[in-house]
Amino acid sequence: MTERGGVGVSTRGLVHIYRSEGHDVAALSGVDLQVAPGEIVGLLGPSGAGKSTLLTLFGGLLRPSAGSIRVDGQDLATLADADLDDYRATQVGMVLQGADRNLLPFLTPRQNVDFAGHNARARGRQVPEAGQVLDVVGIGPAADRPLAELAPGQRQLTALAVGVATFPGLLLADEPTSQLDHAARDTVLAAIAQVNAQVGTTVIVVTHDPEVAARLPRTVTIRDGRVGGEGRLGEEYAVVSADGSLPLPPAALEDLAPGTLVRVHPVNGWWTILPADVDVEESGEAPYRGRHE
Amino acid sequence: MIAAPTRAALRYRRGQAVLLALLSALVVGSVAFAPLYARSLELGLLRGALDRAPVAATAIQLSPSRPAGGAALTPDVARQAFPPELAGLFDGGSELWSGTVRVDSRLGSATPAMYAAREVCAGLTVDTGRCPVTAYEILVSTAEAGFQGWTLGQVLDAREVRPAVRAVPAFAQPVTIVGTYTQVPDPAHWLRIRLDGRAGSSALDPDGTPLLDAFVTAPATFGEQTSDPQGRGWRHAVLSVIFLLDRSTISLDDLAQLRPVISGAADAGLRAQPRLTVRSPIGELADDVLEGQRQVRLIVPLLMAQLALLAVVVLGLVAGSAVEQRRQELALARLRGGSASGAARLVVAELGAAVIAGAPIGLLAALGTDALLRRIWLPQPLPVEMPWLAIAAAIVGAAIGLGAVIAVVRPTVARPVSELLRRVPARRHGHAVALSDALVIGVAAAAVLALATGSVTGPLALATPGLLALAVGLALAHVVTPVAARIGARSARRGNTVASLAAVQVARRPAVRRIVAIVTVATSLAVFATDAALVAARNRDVRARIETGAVAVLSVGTQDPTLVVRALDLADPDRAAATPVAWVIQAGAGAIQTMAVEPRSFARVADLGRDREAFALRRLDSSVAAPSAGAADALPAYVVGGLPPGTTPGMPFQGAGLDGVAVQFAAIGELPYAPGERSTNTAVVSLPALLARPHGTLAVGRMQVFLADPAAEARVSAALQSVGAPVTAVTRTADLQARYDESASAWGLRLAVGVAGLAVLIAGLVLVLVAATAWRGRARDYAALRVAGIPQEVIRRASLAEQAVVVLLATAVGAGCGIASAAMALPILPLFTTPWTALRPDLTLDGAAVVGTVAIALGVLLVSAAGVAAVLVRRATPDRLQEVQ
Repeated sequence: MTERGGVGVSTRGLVHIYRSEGHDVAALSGVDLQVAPGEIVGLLGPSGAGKSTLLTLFGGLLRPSAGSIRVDGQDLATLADADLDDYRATQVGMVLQGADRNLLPFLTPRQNVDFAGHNARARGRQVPEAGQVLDVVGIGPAADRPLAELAPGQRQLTALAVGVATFPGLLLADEPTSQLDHAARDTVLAAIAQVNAQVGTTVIVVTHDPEVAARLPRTVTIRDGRVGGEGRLGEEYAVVSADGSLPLPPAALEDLAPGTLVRVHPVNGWWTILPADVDVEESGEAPYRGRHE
Repeated sequence: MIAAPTRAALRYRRGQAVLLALLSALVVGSVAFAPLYARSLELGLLRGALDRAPVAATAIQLSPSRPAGGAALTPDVARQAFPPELAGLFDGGSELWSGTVRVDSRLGSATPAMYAAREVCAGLTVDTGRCPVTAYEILVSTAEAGFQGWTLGQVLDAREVRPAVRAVPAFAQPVTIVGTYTQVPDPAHWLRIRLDGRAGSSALDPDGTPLLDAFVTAPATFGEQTSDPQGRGWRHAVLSVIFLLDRSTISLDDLAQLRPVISGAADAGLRAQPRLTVRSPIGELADDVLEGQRQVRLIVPLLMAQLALLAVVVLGLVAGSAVEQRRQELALARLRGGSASGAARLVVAELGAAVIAGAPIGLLAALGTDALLRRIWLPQPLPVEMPWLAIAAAIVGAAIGLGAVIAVVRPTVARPVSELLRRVPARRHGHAVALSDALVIGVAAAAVLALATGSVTGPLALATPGLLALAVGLALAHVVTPVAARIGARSARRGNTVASLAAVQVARRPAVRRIVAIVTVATSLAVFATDAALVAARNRDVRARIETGAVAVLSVGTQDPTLVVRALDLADPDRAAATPVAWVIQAGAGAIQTMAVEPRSFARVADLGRDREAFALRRLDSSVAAPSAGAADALPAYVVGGLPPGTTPGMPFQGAGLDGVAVQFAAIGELPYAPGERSTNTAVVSLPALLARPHGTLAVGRMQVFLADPAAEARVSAALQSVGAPVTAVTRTADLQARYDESASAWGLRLAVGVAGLAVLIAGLVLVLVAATAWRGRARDYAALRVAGIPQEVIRRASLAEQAVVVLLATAVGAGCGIASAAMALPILPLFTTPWTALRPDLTLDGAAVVGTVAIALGVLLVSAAGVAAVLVRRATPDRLQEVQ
């Protein structure tokens, strides 16, 4: 376990089922994901895909129904409630969607950061000064102003500061740029990058904004409770799951509807996917191919 | 000290903190007020009893017998025998000597009493001459001196009456008249002894000797005593040492020991040598006060507990709403690694600080209210005591308030963090009654059943309206929401927008359940308290009127009814305002006393309560009863308290005539009570019929004149004085009413009305509070409806209907509970300190009071509801939808 700097996160066959109004809903249906220490990853996907559930699981606020979830080598599913409290106090920071939801409205930014670091301090952990944290995210000068006087972007930065109050190994941010204008959005993204660069915190961000996603070094698309694909430096990739399944991109699904029989053929060191009614030799050029890296 | 974040939170939500503090003050004030006011009422009972009691009623009289061996009777024996435990409560005692002498009078040899007190002329007006100083100087009454022709300086030959000795020597010194007196009605002297009032009377005592007014002499007259039947001095003088109560020092705690100590002294006196007789009626006064104290100790805490409980429920409601508002803060505390208990401490610190701050306010309010009520309701002066018990109760009240806060915080912090983080809390579905509500309904219903079946009686009956309304109100509350949901759906299908909107809003608001229960309880308390107070007042009025007998009753100092009749013939020949009543009391257990009246004037003048027809007494006009077996000349009589033992209807029974001699009466009917008389065993007969019969010397035990018109008192008194039958005392219905109004029950029911009024105001406050804590969401709902095209007028009517229907329903049910409670509880609720056996109380519901109370309660609640509805609609502007939630 690292004292400072980022921690690695991995999930294997992660499943989470909610019970809602008498019936079960599978929010996650087997997520396999690896995040390296110090990495910044964005989680994308349509509403209801399971992104927030995944974030909540990473934050130790829910227990998975099946599978494993490890943060810095610890399996969160096996931790006792008191240990989860410790985990949330010292190793992970969460930034909830909507800046105001992260803040106590009657405290200043400095007092909010102090409040967030209180439990870690009580557990004997070395916690940075609130001013230092606020400086890292870039809101130091407004440390002692009432929250009501801050602009939306400043409040979001304050929420970010609260999330990293203990310089945790893992930062989880849910839509940190929602309802912000472009300038404020850029400021917040820069602050996240600054935290990652200065402290080494691993960052997992949930976002709907494609422009935000484009600025993240790596994105993971969650679709129907599973990893549907990844993006790295602007390129989209399908990800082979641990069970060998391969979620196809939406465009491919238009031609290969669910239930379609396909053949998977090795061709010249590549693997090609062809509908069953298409002859490999007659096809000439295979319509899809996965490039082996 | 309060931590910085807590101080910041309190400043940020100042209004909420103030509200919580005030509600806490109400809880603490209610709890602290109970022991404070109960003590004040107890002191008031004692003060009132002492103020009303004649001096004789609170004195202890010790009368020693003559010591053996011929020693003189002295007061030292009595003083030494006085119970030391009571020494600080009574004075040092004053001697009263009495003896009987024989003198010659205009009407023959007479045997007036002779009295000597330490303060010889206290309680007397010396009309001529001077006060006796030395032995054998006497005062005679001015009236007697005039009648007998006695003058100052005249010497009378007075010898002690010694019935067993025929030839007795005279006193060594005859008695000399040194002055004349008139007795003043001074209760501090002479106690109940009537010195004058007989002068000029032709009445004779049972021995046939004329009755004279008493002689008053100096104590030295009784200095010579002898045990020799033929010796000089007094042989049969009686000495009483009278100890007067110091009414300013006796306390409630002292009162409890009076009867047993006096009884002990009386028992010891009977065994002592010489024997000592101990007499005191103070035990009855003590018993009355202690019974009232017992009732107060149940009534006041019971009433204030109901108010405190209501306040705790409201405090819990507000605290619960406050905790829900802080759900996000709790979530953040948990999110940052805090435990559930740590997060709870955060919220409890903030809310608890407000609750604690309210405690001293509540205590001060209790002290102030107690002081105010003492001044306006209770007899003065009352001692001021340190309110230690109230302070302790205030601490308990604050703990209860804190407990309520903790009780509402714990379920919230126990929820999973993920649930706390939800913007919209998870809604619980289904209509199952919450376990706690079911428990409360069960316990309350069981308690009501116990009260209704008589398993529990007494002042505990005051809990009936609260318990019944709690059970019914909570059950109703759980029925309202599903019924409203159905009505809403049906109205929507029928296109009735207003009804549909209102019903749906009622169905989806969890706070409606609490509002229904609280309004039901408050209305039930109000209706019951008002009805009970008025019914009790009605019965106190009737009892006072019946027990007095008339608006005013003159006690006349004569044993000769013919004098009274003569006086009334002068002052009121038509008997329009006055009627004579003569009482003859027989000795012996179970003996019937005679009440002789003029039937027609009595029926017109006396206060007969609600049984006027029964007191027509028409058949008493006949002087001879219808012949019945063995009673041809028996006098017709109405009987109170049933026939004497062994007598059947129609059989004659023995009563007493105006001369004390036995007379045959025949019962011709029964009366429920004898006006002016508390005890039963009375035969009501015709005074003219008794006077018309042959009789001996008239010697009634008590002679009265009943007055229907207070204005007649002056002329009737003057007429009585002119015939030698002066008025010795006046009893008025208003005085007895005032006494009954100063009782534990009366004060308790007055307090109940105040508590009920507060309960209604609290219910109105709840309507406002519930709206205030959830107004944003509801305003957003209405704003969304407006944006969807629903006209504002429709929304306004729906909002009003939503509030008003709940209030109307709960008020109606509450009123029903109050009426039912009155029917159950009033028969077992003590309306008086001393039981009233003469008549069954009239417990008929006071319909006008009930209607009035419901109207006032509805007014308060509907005004609150209308105000809330108007504010919500006014704030339902479209921009509300853009607010960050």
